[in-house]
Amino acid sequence: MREGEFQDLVSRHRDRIYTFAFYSLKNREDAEDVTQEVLIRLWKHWQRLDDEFLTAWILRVTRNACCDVVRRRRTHQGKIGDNPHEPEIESMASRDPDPHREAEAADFRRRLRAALRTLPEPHRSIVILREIQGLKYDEIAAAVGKPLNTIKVYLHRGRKLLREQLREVTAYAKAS
Amino acid sequence: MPKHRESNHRNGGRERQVTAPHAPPNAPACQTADALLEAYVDDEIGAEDRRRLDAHLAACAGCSAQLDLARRIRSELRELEPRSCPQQVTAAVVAHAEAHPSWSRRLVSWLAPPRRWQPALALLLVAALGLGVWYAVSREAANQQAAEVARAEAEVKLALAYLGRISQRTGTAVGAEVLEDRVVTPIARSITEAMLLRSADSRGGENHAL
Repeated sequence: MREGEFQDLVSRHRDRIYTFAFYSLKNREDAEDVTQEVLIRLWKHWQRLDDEFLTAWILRVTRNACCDVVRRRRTHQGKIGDNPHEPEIESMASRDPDPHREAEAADFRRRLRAALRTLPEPHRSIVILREIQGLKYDEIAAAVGKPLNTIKVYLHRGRKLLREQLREVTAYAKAS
Repeated sequence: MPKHRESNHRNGGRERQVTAPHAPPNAPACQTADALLEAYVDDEIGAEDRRRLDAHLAACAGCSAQLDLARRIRSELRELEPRSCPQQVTAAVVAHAEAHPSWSRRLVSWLAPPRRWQPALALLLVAALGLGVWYAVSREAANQQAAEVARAEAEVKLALAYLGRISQRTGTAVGAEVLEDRVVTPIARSITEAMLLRSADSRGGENHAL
């Protein structure tokens, strides 16, 4: 049996799965659980999957697993809230010599990630797949199971929703 | 708040400094512009819409600020780094895979004979295959022979019927000894020869094929 082949598959797709889950859930433990779950499902099915549709299958399973986690959270917590204990990884790396501007940029990024998690589906998945993971429209269409033009509409609506959420923040920052 | 959009539009942007750039778009022109902004940022907008939007953006500080925000969001999203899957996740998956082999692997390991039996099983398989081929060929030859005998019998019957009819017409009585010598024996001989010849041919063909 080609165990090496499966391990190659894992190496090729694990970061993609984890990145999607991380930005979709913004919780490392949940992202790890989802990644592990998806890879185990891949182990069960990979020999029956066509190479051509493998990436789409993986992304679809990952997205469904993330949606399940979100649904469970809603059940347990009543709503999805920002995790105050989540470390701000990006803010650790300083990008701007001006501390005020850097603080504003870090705050903007934190709010952007928080806003991203509040987007409805499939907007959130499409924004993550397109803007963060850099997938092509046709790859996203295959993963989400919607026509290419619909993907573009959802992407633009998703970013517009982010803009509406961040509009007040930006206005406040400018005013202060 | 809506006032700034209209006044900006009418005055060619002269009032940009007094507008509230982050207010939500309310004026119809601003709403149209807002709906097109994301496509504009992605450069997925038609030439005519782009021209009109450019004109509006030049005049409207609010929409221009929205464009900046749209561009910033897109750019910040693209700067979010892909995450590396922690090693322990991969290790857990590999451990699971080793502990729970797939059904095909379990089937193969269950069916696979011990290594020392493999040469004997291979020989047995080859012998079984040879026997199968021999059986199929001989069965085919036997079927062919039976068909030829049946055809020859039918031909003999037709020939005898024809002779009987001629003898009736001519009023000639043909004795059994005459039929035996002149008809039955030569036909039987020719059939036997033909069959021998054919079976010799088919054996020659088999030998050639082997």
